Amino acid sequence: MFLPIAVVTIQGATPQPARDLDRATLVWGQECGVFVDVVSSITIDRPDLLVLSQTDCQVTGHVVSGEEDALFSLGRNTGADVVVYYVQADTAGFFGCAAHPPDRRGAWVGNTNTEWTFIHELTHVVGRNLHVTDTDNLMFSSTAGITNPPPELTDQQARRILEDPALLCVSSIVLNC
Amino acid sequence: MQERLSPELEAALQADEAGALNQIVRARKPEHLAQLRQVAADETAPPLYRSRAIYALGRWGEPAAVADIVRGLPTLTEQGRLSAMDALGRLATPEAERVLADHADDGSPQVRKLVVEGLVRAQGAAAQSTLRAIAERDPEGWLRELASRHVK
Repeated sequence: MFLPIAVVTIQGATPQPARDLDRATLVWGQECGVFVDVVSSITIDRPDLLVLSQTDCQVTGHVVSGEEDALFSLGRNTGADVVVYYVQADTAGFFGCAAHPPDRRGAWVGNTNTEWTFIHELTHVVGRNLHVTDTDNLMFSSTAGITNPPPELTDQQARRILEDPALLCVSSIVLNC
Repeated sequence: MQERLSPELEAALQADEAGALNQIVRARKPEHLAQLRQVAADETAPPLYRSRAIYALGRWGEPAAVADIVRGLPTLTEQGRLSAMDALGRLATPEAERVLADHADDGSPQVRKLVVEGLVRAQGAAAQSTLRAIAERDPEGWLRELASRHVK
């Protein structure tokens, strides 16, 4: 199975998309047989969105800021339900955030992210997985503190990913059904 | 750092995302406010801890924290100054507004963007003259345009 995503890079950000996709394959591919497929990748000149001013990054009760609303409007209508945004940072220097406007699934990732931040954020979005205290797990809250890499997923986390409606199976593409 | 941080706060300052720190702000424990103020002003603290502590102080809404943020400003990185401008705009005291105006010529366009947003949020008496100056003279066209949207 695979997850189609769109990637939007705000000009000035310095992402490492090949590394991020490699780590995604390492975790999702091994743990639940899901692969991330970038169906669209664009760079947009929006210096006003390079450093994102976000109200909060709460799972529940999230308040969408004006800049977040503008950012998460970009890269839509590409055939991917989930969009990942590469920005410089938020105003606090956090590595990423998977809170998003209710009708636009996605996450942003900043320049100072770790090698696991990208797939950590995607695992919040896809399957709505929460943080855990196990430092060997991908969903440990500080990916810089992950031990014994590559990080693992529990059976429940893998199942939640596999149940996400954004996933497509290869046969549905080959057979066009 | 002088005082040991609570494990809860240290984990929030180390996290990939802001969510845990947002929860600490919502819980409003006095010991966390004291520790955040200490980290913000402590030039020996890790730079990322300071940025994140300042971010949290801005959302806490405690005006006394303005002094801690201002005291630490000279030793902040660009990321730290971004956090500081964001926090000062939210705290919105006359001192915060003055410091925001002082950074209208900061070398980082992104810091100047946070100055504009901070002044708009602060809505103080001096904000309009600084916004007008940025709208007329900032070297970045997008920043002139952003500031001009808020000039009355």
